[in-house]
Amino acid sequence: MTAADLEVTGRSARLVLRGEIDLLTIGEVKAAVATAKERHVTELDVDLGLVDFMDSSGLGVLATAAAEVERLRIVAAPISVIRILEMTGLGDFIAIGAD
Amino acid sequence: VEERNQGPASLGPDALHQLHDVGRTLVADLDLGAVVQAVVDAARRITGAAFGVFFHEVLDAAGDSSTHFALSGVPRSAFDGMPLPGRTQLFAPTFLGQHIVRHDDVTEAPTYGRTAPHHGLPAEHLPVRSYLAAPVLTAAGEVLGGLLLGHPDPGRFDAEDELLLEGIAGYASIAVVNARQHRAQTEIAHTLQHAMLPTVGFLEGVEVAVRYLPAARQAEVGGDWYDVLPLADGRLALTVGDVAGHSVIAAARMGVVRNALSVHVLREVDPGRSLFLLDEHLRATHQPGFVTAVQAVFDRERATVDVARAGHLPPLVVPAQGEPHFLDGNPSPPLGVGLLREPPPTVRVQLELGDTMVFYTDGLVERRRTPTDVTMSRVRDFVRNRPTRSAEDLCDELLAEFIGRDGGDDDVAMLAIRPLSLVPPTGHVAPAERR
Repeated sequence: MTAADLEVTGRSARLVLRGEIDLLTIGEVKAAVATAKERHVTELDVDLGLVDFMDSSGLGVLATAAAEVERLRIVAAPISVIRILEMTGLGDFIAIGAD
Repeated sequence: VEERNQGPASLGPDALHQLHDVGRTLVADLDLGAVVQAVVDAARRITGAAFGVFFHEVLDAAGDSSTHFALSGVPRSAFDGMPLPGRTQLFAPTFLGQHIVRHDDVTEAPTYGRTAPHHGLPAEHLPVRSYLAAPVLTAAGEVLGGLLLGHPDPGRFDAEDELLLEGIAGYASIAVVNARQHRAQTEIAHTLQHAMLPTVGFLEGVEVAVRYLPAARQAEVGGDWYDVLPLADGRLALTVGDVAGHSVIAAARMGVVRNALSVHVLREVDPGRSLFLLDEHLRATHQPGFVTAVQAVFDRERATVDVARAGHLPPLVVPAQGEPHFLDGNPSPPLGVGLLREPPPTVRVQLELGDTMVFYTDGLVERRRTPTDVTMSRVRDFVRNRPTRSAEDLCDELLAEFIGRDGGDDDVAMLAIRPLSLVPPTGHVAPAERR
């Protein structure tokens, strides 16, 4: 099972992250974000619904990705991940009520 | 002539499987002591030897080499007072890096017992009949050491054992070179980190404690930093930050970022505005990667702290009386990635004398498999139940409880301030106290 799956539709993409996002799996996430960039994705939805744990390396990749696309939305994040996103200044990217 | 190239010259599936396991374990370890021990243990286990020894060359900081050894199947005391293997005909192919040596009975080998003073094994040596030895070489042909295996009975090693040992010696070479490089890199990073973090002298009216702890894994440094900068008007600028990455590159970047921020702090005292200037600076100079930081200015006349955060976890406030809590409010995004549109908001916090405010990096509260907010609640509960005697003690107690003696998964920087008395304005500019 991969930690990051990217599905690109035109200029939009959905990045589904799974399990533990930390130093061991961050390479997969970075690679998926790089692919999205290569394919000129401008709207990126990052689905954190299946994430058990995310450390600061995950937050760093999300922050970097947010700066590289026109619109990044974080969807379906578990409550513990939402708290950390908010505490580290990434709360504005959380899509409220979106799937 | 050695008894070589007899019997099967290929490995069966079981042997390949074992060898694969050994290789995978060895090349994943970066600690030299653990690597050499794992090598000799694996070699002994897989070949069925009774004892094994891995003689290896260790380089000191000056680049001088000395011979060390790791033993398997025999207590170290059995080798007390034993001389290192001499320049004998038996050992030459191993320590000159020429080829593998295998004997069904080493005492009958033509190369055995040719060299004074011992003419064979020293009298007090373990009994060895079966003998198998391989050099451990780098790709460039440098001899890193020799793996020697023995058994008191004759005829215990066959051609398959020879191939297995050759394979283990190959993995050993990769693992030893990796460990050496990692050690050298870690030393450089430590030196850099140590040289770049300031020491804090006596400051009137306030106790300031600072800590830096490298990560446990080979004491690996990262890009965490703290800074204490006395301003011309008597206030203190305080910073804790984290530059993404590890080792030499992160330590070097941390030095650049810390210096850049201190320049902005001296010119623009509002913490949010100085962070905003740093963000602009990082983007203008095209420095890659992201930075999180909390910037504060402590006023010694009023015991107030102005705090601004960019992507950084909130400081912990431990009142002399009352409930400990993390600072409210959400910060701006991290610096250096182009997400910041305006200066992070600056919040003013009023401290009472004896209160403590603790700034830290995520290494203190980030654990594998535990959500960070859960660990933060544990930190809050921990400090609630112990009266704070000093900022220094609080730092020590938090590190002891949440990191332990040997360091955590990540490096940690920490800064705690505790106002002890209100300092009236002196009317003159105090000299900056930095080293």
